[in-house]
Amino acid sequence: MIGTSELKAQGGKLIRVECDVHERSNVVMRLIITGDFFLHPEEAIEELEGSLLMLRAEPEILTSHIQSFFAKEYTLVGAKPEDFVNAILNAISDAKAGKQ
Amino acid sequence: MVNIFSKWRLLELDKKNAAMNMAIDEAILINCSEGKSPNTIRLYEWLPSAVSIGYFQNPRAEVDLEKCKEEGVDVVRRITGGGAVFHDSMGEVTYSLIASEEERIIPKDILRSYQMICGCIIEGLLSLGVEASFQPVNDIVVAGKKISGNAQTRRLGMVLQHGTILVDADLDKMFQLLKVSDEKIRDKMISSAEKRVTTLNKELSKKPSHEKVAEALEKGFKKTIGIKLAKGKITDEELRLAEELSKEKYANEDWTFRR
Repeated sequence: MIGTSELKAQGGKLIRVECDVHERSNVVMRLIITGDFFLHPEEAIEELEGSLLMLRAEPEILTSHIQSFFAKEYTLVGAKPEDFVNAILNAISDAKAGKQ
Repeated sequence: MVNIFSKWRLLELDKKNAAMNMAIDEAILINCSEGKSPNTIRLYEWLPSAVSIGYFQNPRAEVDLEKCKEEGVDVVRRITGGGAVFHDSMGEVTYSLIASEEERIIPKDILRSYQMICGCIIEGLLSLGVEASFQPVNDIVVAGKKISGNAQTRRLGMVLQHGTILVDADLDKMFQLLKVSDEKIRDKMISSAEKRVTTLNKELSKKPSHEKVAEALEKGFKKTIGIKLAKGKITDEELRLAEELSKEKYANEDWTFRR
């Protein structure tokens, strides 16, 4: 199940998420975050995407993973961790909605 | 690493293609981080015209790739975040600032450092007679309209900030090449993209030469940071590395389309 989302962050930047959730197992198979935000170091985005793979696509599980990711020493400019949480959850629910 | 060179280097206005422009910025950053090159201010133009996209952007979502191909406009991914920028070869000057993070004059805080470096550009624009101001996070505006976008990365203990100054960019073409997102269109504040952007030509009712703009920026950097800027040249080592990075990374579709 493919889902997408687009969110204008509180800092004015745009976050787009595309994800693929496995229908039977409800597991995140693929997740890509794009946009015009700033994250330092930049390579951390791949770490965030990778850290969400193979998790169950449940809001509580994903939220806690994203929050603990941003608790590390990363600097976000133009967006807040909550924006990433919302954008990712929106894409996940879009994927699930597409199923019906 | 604190740079051992006492003066900063100024690389004067130079025109390169998109891949090479981005490769030179990275090659300077690497050489500078190894103590082989001084902190540097570089001024440049793009030939052919190009669209650069931010590190995290998806070119298919941000750029009309067909149109770029038709128009002979290059597309390149930057190592810095931020948005897509149209670099019109006839109407745009770009700068980059590459310096050690240990430099006293560079604020550790990223937002503050944007403000400080953009302050150099604002000072330069003022010397041309254009009253601009900083608009957080990374823009410079004249009466609310964007005239300069800036993007920064920090790696290898270095700060690299590059930014664009719209001199006489073809704004119609800009908005044909760049896709404006649905979210941004929905935002009533920016309902008309054209009304959000201005150029030096519009503000001065006369197009200043790119050389004049470059000279103004040089003044802005000297005055704001209080640095000694010595005109210099790109080193052979930087050039070799830039050619390699251009070929292997920036001109490579794996890099351009990696997200």
